[in-house]
Amino acid sequence: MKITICGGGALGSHVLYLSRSLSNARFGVIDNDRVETKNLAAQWFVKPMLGKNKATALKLQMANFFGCAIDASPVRLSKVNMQELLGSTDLVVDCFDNGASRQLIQDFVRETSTPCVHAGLAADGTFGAVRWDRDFVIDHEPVEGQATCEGGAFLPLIVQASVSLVEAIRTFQTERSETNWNIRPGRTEKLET
Amino acid sequence: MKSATINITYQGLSANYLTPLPKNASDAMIRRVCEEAIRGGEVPELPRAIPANAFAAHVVDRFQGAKNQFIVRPQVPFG
Repeated sequence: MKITICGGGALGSHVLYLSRSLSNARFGVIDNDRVETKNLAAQWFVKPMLGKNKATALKLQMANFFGCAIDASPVRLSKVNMQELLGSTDLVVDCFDNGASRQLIQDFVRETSTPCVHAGLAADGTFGAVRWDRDFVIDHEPVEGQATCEGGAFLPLIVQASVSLVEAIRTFQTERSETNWNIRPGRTEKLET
Repeated sequence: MKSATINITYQGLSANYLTPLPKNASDAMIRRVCEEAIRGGEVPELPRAIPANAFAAHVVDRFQGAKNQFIVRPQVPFG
């Protein structure tokens, strides 16, 4: 199964790290952003990756730490390259941090009937959600460019949400079931929908 | 009218509230129901002293399953 993670930031980097042992999965990651010092507190990047593209950095870390090969696409996802980047994907995992990119993904997966699971975090770090596309409402960031759960204080919630997202991927891979999750600090709830 | 479960998350706390509500209730109506129920003490897990329009920026999730269920949650734009 080819699984493409869109966004290699707080959620995307941890999901990749936590999913590495899933069997029969080939991962790809798309991100055009670079690793900055502020990212080191809450995203899965080591210091030598500073300045590198996030997708490239994740590819290097997965190879160096675990001997895992992944596909890295260090580009911005757009309507122009969408088919090329997602056309052969069996599952899209949306970990982007902006509504416009999430909308691009939603339009594509609905048009092509590609399975897709989305995950997001509240700006104040009090809530996270994992939703399969048919039940997903896109939330646009209230103020463009505002802080996005970057501090280390949010790391526990980020990891909680990432674990739930990996579980959603695993159950889809093994049982073809689509599970939605609510995540609050210290508590993760699988929704009976 | 069919009973609906509203799962409400507010400032890191969460609770379920059971109330008669049609499946096609508007987002605005659901937000208003939540606010009045909490202020009226019908959702003891959440603090009663919430400001007016406390859920104005919250999202109402609806699910395509058979259950009459709504989730009122903070926005989650970041990943």
